[in-house]
Formats: sequence, C-alpha cells, structure tokens
Amino acid sequence: MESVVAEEKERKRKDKILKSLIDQLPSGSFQKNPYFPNLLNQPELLISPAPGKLIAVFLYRQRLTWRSALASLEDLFEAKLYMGRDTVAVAYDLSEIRNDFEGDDMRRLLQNTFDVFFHLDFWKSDIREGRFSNTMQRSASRQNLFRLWDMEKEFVQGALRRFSKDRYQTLVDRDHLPSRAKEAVVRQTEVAIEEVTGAFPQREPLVDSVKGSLGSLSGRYKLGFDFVTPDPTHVPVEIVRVGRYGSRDTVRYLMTKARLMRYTGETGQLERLGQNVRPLLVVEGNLAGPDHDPYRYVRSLVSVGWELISADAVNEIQRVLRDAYV
Amino acid sequence: MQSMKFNGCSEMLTFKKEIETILFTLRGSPWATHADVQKVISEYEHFIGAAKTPTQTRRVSLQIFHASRAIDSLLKHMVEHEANRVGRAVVGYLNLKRSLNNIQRHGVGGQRFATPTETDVKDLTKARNRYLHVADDFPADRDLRVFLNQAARAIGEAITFPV
Repeated sequence: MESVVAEEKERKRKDKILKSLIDQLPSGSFQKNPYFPNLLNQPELLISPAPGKLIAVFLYRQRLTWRSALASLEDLFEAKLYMGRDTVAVAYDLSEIRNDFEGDDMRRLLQNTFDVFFHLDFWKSDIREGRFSNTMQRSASRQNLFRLWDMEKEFVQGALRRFSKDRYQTLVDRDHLPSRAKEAVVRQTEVAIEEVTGAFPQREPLVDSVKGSLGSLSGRYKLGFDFVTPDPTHVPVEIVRVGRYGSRDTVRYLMTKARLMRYTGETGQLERLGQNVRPLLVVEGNLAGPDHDPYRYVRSLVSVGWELISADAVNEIQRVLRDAYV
Repeated sequence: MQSMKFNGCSEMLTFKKEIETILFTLRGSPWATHADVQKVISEYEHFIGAAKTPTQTRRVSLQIFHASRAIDSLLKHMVEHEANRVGRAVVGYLNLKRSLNNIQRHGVGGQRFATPTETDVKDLTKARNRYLHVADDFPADRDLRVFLNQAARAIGEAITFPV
C-alpha cells in the first residue's frame, strides 16, 4: 500500500514537472506523450523549435543504478536509431542524487552520451526562471557519436533478418509463467552446457565492454553474466525469470548490454569488434510483449544480437553454440 | 465482447497517436528544410485530415490517395537529392517501386530500409495499384489499416536517413 502511495506521489511530481516544461514552450512546437512503435520506452515530450530540429525529452524518476542507467542508455540508442541521429536526446534525472564513486560514474555515463542530461538540482532553476525553452533551442546532437549510431543501425538491420515468429513462438506464450527458482535453471543450463562441450562453463564471468570509454568513466567497467561457455566458443549466457508484466525494463537493460559488448575504442573512434559472439538468453517464463505486438520484446532482443531459448529447451544449446558467431 | 471493443478502440488511438507522431517527426527532421519535403508535410496533413471524412468510401479513397502521394513524393525527393549529392544521374521517372529499388541499391546518406520495411513498401505498391485502378473496390477496414500503417512506418523510417 505504501509503495502504491509513493508511486502515485512520484507520478504526480513528474506530471507537475512536465507541465512546467510545457508551459514554457510555444503552442504547436511540442507533442506530449508521442508514440513510436519501435521504442521500448517513449519520450515524455517531442519538441520542434524550428523546422528541421527535433528534440526528444525523457524524464527518469527511478533511483539511478547500473541497471536503470543502462536501461536509460537504451532509450538513447533507440531515439537515435528510430528518430534519426540528428534528433537531440535530452534526459532529466529526477531521482535522488547518490554521492558516491559509482553513482557519479552512472550519471557521467548518461551525461557523456545523451545530448543534454541534467540532474534535477541542476535544472530546477531553469524551470523557475523559464530557461527550458532557451536550453532546448541551443541544444545540438553529439556528432562524435554519429558513427556509433550508424554502425548500430547497420548491425540491427542485419540481425533482424534472423528473426522469425515460428522460431520464438514458445517464448511469447503468456500463460507460461516462471515456475522454477533461478538457481535451478542455472544448474540445469550448466549441466546442458557440460554435456555439449565436455566442460563446465565459467560462472559469473566479466565481459569487456565499451561502457567505460563511451562514458569517459573513472572506473573501467565490465559486464557481468551468469556464465560463459568453455573453449572455444566463449558465449556469455544470462538467465532471466520473467513473466507477462514488468519485463520491459529488464529487456531495455539487456539490449544495451548486448550493444556495449560489440564495440571497442574511445568515444569518437569506436570500432565494431571484428568477430562478435552472440550472447545467449535463457528464459524461464515468457517474454510476451503488448497485445498488439506480442513479439516486440523478443524481436528487440534478437535485433541487438541476443539468441534466446526457453529454459524448457536447453537441449537447443548445441545449435546455439554452433551458430554463436555473428 | 466488451474487451474486444475496448481493444479495438485502444488500437485505434495508438494508431492515431503514431501517425501524428510521424507528422511531428517529419516537421522536425533535417529533411523538412527542403521545399519538396514541405509539400510532403502538407500531403501528410491532408492524410491525417482525411480520417474525419464522414462517408466511408470517400474517406478510404482519400486516405489511400494522400498516403500514396506522401510516400511517393518523399522517396522520389530522397533519391533525387542523394543522386545530386553524389553526382549520379537518375534515369527515367521515379515511381514508388523505382525509388525503393534505387534506395536499396545506392542508399541515402549511406543507409537503406530494413528488410521488413522494404517488404512493406513492396506490398504497398501492389495494394495501391489495386485500390487505385480497380473500379468500386475498397479495402476492408483491417486491410486499410495495414496499408496506412505500412505507409506511415515507411515514411517514419525514411526520415531517419541522413540528409
């Protein structure tokens, strides 16, 4: 009950902030709550201060963690891919600030990738003094990331050719609820990998990613998975327990994870790794999307390079390892 | 039954929001500064306005007509702009099919349509030819929705091509 009240309070606060932003914009120059079918999370606001300029505004009220930061980063990737790389992506962090090393790095990752990123404390005065409209007019997209968006778009278009409804039908059966504990699925998958490869997978490996250099972070970060398969394939494996509701944020986080492990180098000079391995997602439960597009989450994950199997079909691991390389 | 009715209504609202979002994105796209794309924007506005036409056959005809002209003109402009940019000649008149083939072969700003959108545009050319050339033949609501959705999404993807 308490969490429902807190959630409602937060929602009202977000609505109030959104209204104060909109009040500063000339009528006809914005669209509230737009809808793009390919975006997992919609921006709250689209602004077009002049013909030829488009700004997408995202408001984040969730406490900043690595998981929520990567989910927000996914919104940026999708905005650039599906609205165009010239679209200015703006993010406002409405959450309580965390004053620690990791909290700073999470914020820095978003600050150094979104075209405009503010924490509430920074922009509160903007609202009071009516500077939001000017800030938006002056904003521009980061040209040093154009190559990343182009490479990613090319990858996604290629990866989508692998998608077929028949192949992933069992994963969108919303009556298939997660029934086993994650540890049970972990053990079962571990045994299946051992049967196929003759060796046990390595548990909780850390995989290189471009996160640190993309965000110019002080720490060098790697991405954690549940397993990595033994020589020679080295396929990172993640196990998720998901149902019909609440899986969208998990999907957003997983999407960025797959994208970030594909690149190397420093911002402005990022390169795609020569040969990419396809990470494997083992799903206990289902990943059914909304009624009008049940395959949305599965298709999204396939588009960024994930291979997916149901936890009831771990015998498919042999096929997955055979086709592990992109 | 109630739930089906509700779903239909909710789908309709989502579709309406989606086509309005594409119009807004079109206005904000770097392509919008080109005079020819301003005409596409006007055509797209007529397309949205056509939904309010009370007579069903007239509404359907207008929606197909305006959606077709909007996508035809947009792709034609993009192909011509790209050809000018790289100094390549465009041979013959550009209809929707030719524009699509040209984009998929040469790209626009280095980008092409994704395979599902390419298929959608191919479907559009076939469906449009039937709707525009066969007397007293109107698509059912469901088929019309697919047609309009494909046209709107193709426009949405085309405007993400770099200028």
